[in-house]
Amino acid sequence: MTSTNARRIRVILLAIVVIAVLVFGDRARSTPRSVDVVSGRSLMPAASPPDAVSSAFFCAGGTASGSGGFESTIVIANPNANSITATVTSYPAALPSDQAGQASVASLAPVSKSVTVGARSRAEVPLAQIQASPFAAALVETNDGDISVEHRTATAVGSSSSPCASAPSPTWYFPTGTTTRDAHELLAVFNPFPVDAVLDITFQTSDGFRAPTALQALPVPGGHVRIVDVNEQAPRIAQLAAFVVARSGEVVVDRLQSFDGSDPAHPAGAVAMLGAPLPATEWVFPEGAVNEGLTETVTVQNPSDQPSSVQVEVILDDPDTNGVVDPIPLTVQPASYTQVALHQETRVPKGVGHTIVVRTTSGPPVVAERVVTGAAPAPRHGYGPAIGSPLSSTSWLFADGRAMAGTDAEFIVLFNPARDVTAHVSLTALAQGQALAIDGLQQIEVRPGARVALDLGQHVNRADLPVLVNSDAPVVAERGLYAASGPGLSLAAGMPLAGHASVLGR
Amino acid sequence: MAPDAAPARSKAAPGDYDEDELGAIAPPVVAVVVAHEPGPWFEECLASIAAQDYPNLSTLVIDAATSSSDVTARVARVQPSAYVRRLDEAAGFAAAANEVLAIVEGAAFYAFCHDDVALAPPAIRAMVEEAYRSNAGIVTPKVVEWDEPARLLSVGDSADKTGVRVPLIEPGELDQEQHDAVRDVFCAPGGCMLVRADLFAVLDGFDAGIDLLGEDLDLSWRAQVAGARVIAAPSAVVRHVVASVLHRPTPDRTQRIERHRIRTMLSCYGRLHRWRVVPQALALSALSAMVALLSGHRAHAADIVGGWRWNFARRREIAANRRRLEAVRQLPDTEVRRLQVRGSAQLARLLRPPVGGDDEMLSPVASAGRELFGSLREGPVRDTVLVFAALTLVLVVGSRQLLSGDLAPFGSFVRFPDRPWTLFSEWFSGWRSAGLGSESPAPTGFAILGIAGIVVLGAMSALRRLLVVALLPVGVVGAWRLARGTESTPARLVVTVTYLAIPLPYDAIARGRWGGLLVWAAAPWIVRLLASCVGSTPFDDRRLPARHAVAGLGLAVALLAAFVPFTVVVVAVAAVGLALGGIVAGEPRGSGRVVVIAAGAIVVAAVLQLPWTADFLLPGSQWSAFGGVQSSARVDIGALLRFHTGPVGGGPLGWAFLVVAALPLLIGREWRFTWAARAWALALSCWALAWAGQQSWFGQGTGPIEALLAPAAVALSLSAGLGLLAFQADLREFRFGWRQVVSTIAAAALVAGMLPTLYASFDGRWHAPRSGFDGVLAFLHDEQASAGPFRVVWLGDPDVLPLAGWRLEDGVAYATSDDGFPSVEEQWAGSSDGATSLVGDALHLAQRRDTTRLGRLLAPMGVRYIVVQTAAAPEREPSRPVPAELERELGQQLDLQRVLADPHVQVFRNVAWAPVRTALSPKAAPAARGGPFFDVVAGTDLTGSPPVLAGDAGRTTARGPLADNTTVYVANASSPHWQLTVDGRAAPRTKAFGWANSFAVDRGGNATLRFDTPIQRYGLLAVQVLLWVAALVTWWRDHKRPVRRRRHRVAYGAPA
Repeated sequence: MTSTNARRIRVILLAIVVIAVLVFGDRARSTPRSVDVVSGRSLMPAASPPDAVSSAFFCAGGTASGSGGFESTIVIANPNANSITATVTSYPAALPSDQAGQASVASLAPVSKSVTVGARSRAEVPLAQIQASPFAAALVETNDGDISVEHRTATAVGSSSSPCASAPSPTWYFPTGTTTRDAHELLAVFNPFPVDAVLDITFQTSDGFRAPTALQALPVPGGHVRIVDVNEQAPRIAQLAAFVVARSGEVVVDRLQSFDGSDPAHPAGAVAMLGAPLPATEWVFPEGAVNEGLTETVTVQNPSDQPSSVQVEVILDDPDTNGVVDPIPLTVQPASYTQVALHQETRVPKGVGHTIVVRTTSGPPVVAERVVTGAAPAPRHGYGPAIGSPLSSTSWLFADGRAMAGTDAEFIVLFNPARDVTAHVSLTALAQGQALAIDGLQQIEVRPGARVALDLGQHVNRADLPVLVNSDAPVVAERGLYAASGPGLSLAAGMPLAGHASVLGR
Repeated sequence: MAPDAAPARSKAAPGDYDEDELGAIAPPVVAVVVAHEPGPWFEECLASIAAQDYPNLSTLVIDAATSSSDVTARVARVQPSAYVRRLDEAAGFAAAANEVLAIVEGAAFYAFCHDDVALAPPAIRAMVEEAYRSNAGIVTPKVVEWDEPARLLSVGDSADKTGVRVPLIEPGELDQEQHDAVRDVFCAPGGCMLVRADLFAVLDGFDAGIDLLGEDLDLSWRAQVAGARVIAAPSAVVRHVVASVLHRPTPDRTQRIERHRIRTMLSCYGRLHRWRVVPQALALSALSAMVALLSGHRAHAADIVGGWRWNFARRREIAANRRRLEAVRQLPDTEVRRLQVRGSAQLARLLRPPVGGDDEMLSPVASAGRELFGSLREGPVRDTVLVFAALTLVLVVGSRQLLSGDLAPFGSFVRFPDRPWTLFSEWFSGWRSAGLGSESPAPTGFAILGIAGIVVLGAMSALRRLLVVALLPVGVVGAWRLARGTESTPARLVVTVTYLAIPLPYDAIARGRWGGLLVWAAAPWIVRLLASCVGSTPFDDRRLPARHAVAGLGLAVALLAAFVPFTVVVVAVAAVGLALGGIVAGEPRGSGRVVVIAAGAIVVAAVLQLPWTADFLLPGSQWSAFGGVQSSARVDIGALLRFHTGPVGGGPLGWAFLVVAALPLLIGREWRFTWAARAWALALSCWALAWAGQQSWFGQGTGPIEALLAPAAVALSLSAGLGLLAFQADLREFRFGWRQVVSTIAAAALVAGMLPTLYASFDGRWHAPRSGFDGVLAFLHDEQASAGPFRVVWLGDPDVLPLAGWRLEDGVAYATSDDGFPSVEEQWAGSSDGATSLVGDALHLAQRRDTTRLGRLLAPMGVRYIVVQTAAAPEREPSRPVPAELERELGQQLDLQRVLADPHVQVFRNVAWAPVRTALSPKAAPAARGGPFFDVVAGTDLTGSPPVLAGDAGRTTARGPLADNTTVYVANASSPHWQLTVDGRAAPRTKAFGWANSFAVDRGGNATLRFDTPIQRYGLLAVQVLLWVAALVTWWRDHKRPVRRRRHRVAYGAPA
């Protein structure tokens, strides 16, 4: 081998090695994905971040006339050691069919009110006190973090409480709905932005698909609320799933439902509730039970254009005693829904508390809602829908709540979605400046895959009871508010504190 | 001198008259001899006129300021009856001849003669007779050589459409009466011509703006436009010395010919033909200049370019000529052009090798063409010219829409300001407007572009186009010169063709990466300098001393780094690559030298950029100012190796260049192998750098990807050329086998590699978009007038943003512009340290959903709009979306209003905005004194703040009236050099919101806000100018100084 050839081989080898290294390195490289730190907070309302410069909550639906059907009160909880100032702005609205209401609203403008919320306490702001109007939406703004805002609506057939939205969205989904003779359903669409939004609202009903002309390309001017009377657009429908999709802009949509009790299938009740802004792969409903007079129906809505395979898992209390329920498989067609009436499922034992997990096994994510109705002979009466929780968290804040012996009962139900980590949960009441560790509700053990239902009335007796739930492992917390007598049944997930939550199923 | 008018005819034929009668009836002719420093032939000239048999001939000798005063005496000795007029100044032949218009009356014809012609006795008569017979305006005789009258010089000339003269005979051919037919010609050569006096008067004589050479063509052309015929009358014979060539050479001869040819062409054509012909003439001139440059005849290239410049400077004079000619026009240009030769004489001469011996005296244009050709005689001229013609054709065809159409502002191809001074003022000023402003030094690029703007006489739009399109030929010439030392024209052609076939520059154009295109154009020159530093064959033909090499390379790097600072790293890597290649190839000599010289050059470049260099080195400096922000776009290693960084190239054919370049590694010997190894090492180094620069673990920008790959492209091209040399010299050392097969494959690969580029050229604009976002975003600029001064925040991938910015997160940059759509002034970001980082902080807050009032946070910064751009242009552009959560959170801000939702650009209006210069409300004024910034502004609503000082506003000055008790807020980074005076009184300045400026004005009046640039800034600039001048002078001296050249005739084994 000549000297030239030796050098030749050396050079060629060097070139090959360098190129090979580059090729290998290129294949081994993983493209970094941008971490979306707030995507979880887009799935459901979440408390404002602790270091937030400013944050806002949007409570879209309710009345503010002082005598309306859904009298709206904004409940702001502040777990911080310092008092905070929030600005509540009321945006007036009226039903399109209400000529007088429209005329009065036309002369009104949004009105703001500054509210001071003391340290470790809560404030309640009836919207009617800010400005009277047939309907009203509220925008709550603050420059402080870690607060939670809920929306309480009081009616003649009970009251309901649920978190206000912490972010708008271009899509909102409502898996259930009813416009039968005994029912009245409204959608309150709130556009808090300066730019107009244009929406399409469609329904998948038990009778087929509906796309009312009046609800296509529906404009919602910036800074306005539009009340949509679903009964007018899709009358006499026993079950309908609503799809609200913005062509432009982003909005917040609440569903307002009331039942007069004339139909045995729907006990008397009323509820205002936020929809689901996005589908998710896993939804958890910690509270659940079926019994005589107590029905439980899960509706799974698939807003995508692909079918989705879903299973509904019923996790019973004390499985060693009560056994295990086989999951219920479902296939949800595109832009449609499927319902499971658990009270009609023989595999679900009556009188045994359970948690429901709706899990997407293949296909696009879905939205799940559970409706609980109570009628005699069940001790609780009313109509209680709730969107599941797609998040787990180590801290949950419930702004509203009350546990008054003889009048109101409050339950916090905890579910530990982990497979091998036991959670230890403590409940703290924000008692007018005091962080009150509720006696008997400290370091509650929640085993993996199990749930615990806590009756606060057994430990505390307060009409003003914001509760902070802290855990050493992520759990899902749901609150149940029940009237001791008469109709009154409200179920809602809590509001996870920012930085503590994680998305289920990921 | 006023001969009587001709008497009325009463006799049948000339023979019927006696001598006196003939003299009385023959039309009076005045022989006009223009004499300037006449030679010994002058007397014979006069004698020949005196000996004419024409009966009514007078002689006028115009002495064009001959230095000696013996002209009159010489005339008197030979022709005492001749009239002599002496001019005080030598204004040229045309101006001198035009004297006849003032001093001669009643003549029917003028016979204009040089002082070096001798007319045969019947010449004047023959021409006059032919003038009447053919009804001609101008008659030219048969011109023969002085000493050898049997050889022809001319029998009239023709010209092509661009005014290049074409002799109708082969100059020097024997006169065998083969050209003795009377015929129309396009041009009557100037030695002797008969011109009808009334025509001469109508045409205002010769064009006085043509002092020498070319006045004959001009007169003939104009005469034909006026409807007169130009006739050759070969029966009239004139001998001609052609003294202006042989005996008293005219200075600037080529330059004058070019100038006057172009002047005539511009003067004589009507509008329609001017639009048709002038672009062709420009293209031909460019080609000629390029060939002259390639052949080392810079002076000739300068003459060609100078010809156009000279005429551009006299455009008004030419327009006046044109108007005068239009007033007498009788024939359309289509008629006039029938006597011109078809095609291009210029191009034909370029392509046709010279025939015959020294023919300098024959035709000025021919001689110029020959001169051009002579420079290329040593090599295969035809191949070179053909290849370059083909390359030019590809470039012209591929860039035709960029040359003729609008060059859309996209990527870094942004608009330039209207005047160069704007760029100079940016450079002078101590205030940088990037971001929220700072007192950091201005980039040197402002000054360089400003100078370039002056060079193009303020045509900034043309400069912008030039800086895109002209870079392609610069790169081609650089590649051609790269392998000059090989002394092999085929090898140089292979290098050039390969370099042009590699798709880097076209991808840079398609993606709007001007920096990449610039470095591509400069890379062959830089690599050549580096290779010279190694100092081994074949790059040892011009080995400079190390000090000179450092100065030269440093100057080149400084020029490049002024626009692409990261170039310094590229040069360093290229030097190291060359050095490593030599070491691996077993030839380490020169490796250390090239690295040391490159390091020195980088230091020189850094020094030349002072004080701008401080932006990169001092505390607070940021990488983004040096290398930009890392793009989210990743080019995989396969694409890097194929130089596939955009829409051009790619596919399997992209590998062809590697195949071509691998040949010398396989078959090369001696220096061909060594340099191939160096080239490959250089290429591998650059690929490695480009690859590393895209890795997330590196996390920093490295400038345009083409800038990193350009030296690799040079290296592969050089290796391709070395492959040809190895094929010629080394292959015969081997027996027939795989090496021959590989050589054939390499040749085929070269052809295949060219195909994608050829295909891309059909597009006409190298896939650059036809439009940018400037149109749809024009309102950003327009609103400034009505709404008051405001800023625009730009968000997006740095690769698609039309301005330089700072890192927000991986693949996302933010930047600000002051006056709507960015211009070249926003192409240098500087550091965001200080106030500007607040913009990024605010955006981060929104991205983390830590605020729902981003507009309020940005209001004190004067931000009215946020533009989110996901593509460089609306069409044919890949989308580079910003992170979903960023876009989502912007859409969920309560005080941002989405006003434009294009697929590639979204615009949010800040409804809570405040102008950059505003009056704070009584409620906001105290808040401005608080802190920290975000806590304060979250609770401070500046919505509706009125603009102030909005009149006569610039970047560093603003004027306007102010009311009493006004708190003026200026949303620029706090600086004591911002000063506000109200009716001459200075208003006290305080820091507002912790970073801006506010002025308390108690008593209103006319106010002026000004940034006073500190005197130190001017001092530093003066030092910088001195440094550049010193570097340029050093380089120029070194460039002109004789250096050790080694003319090595390399034995290639076969004729090169």
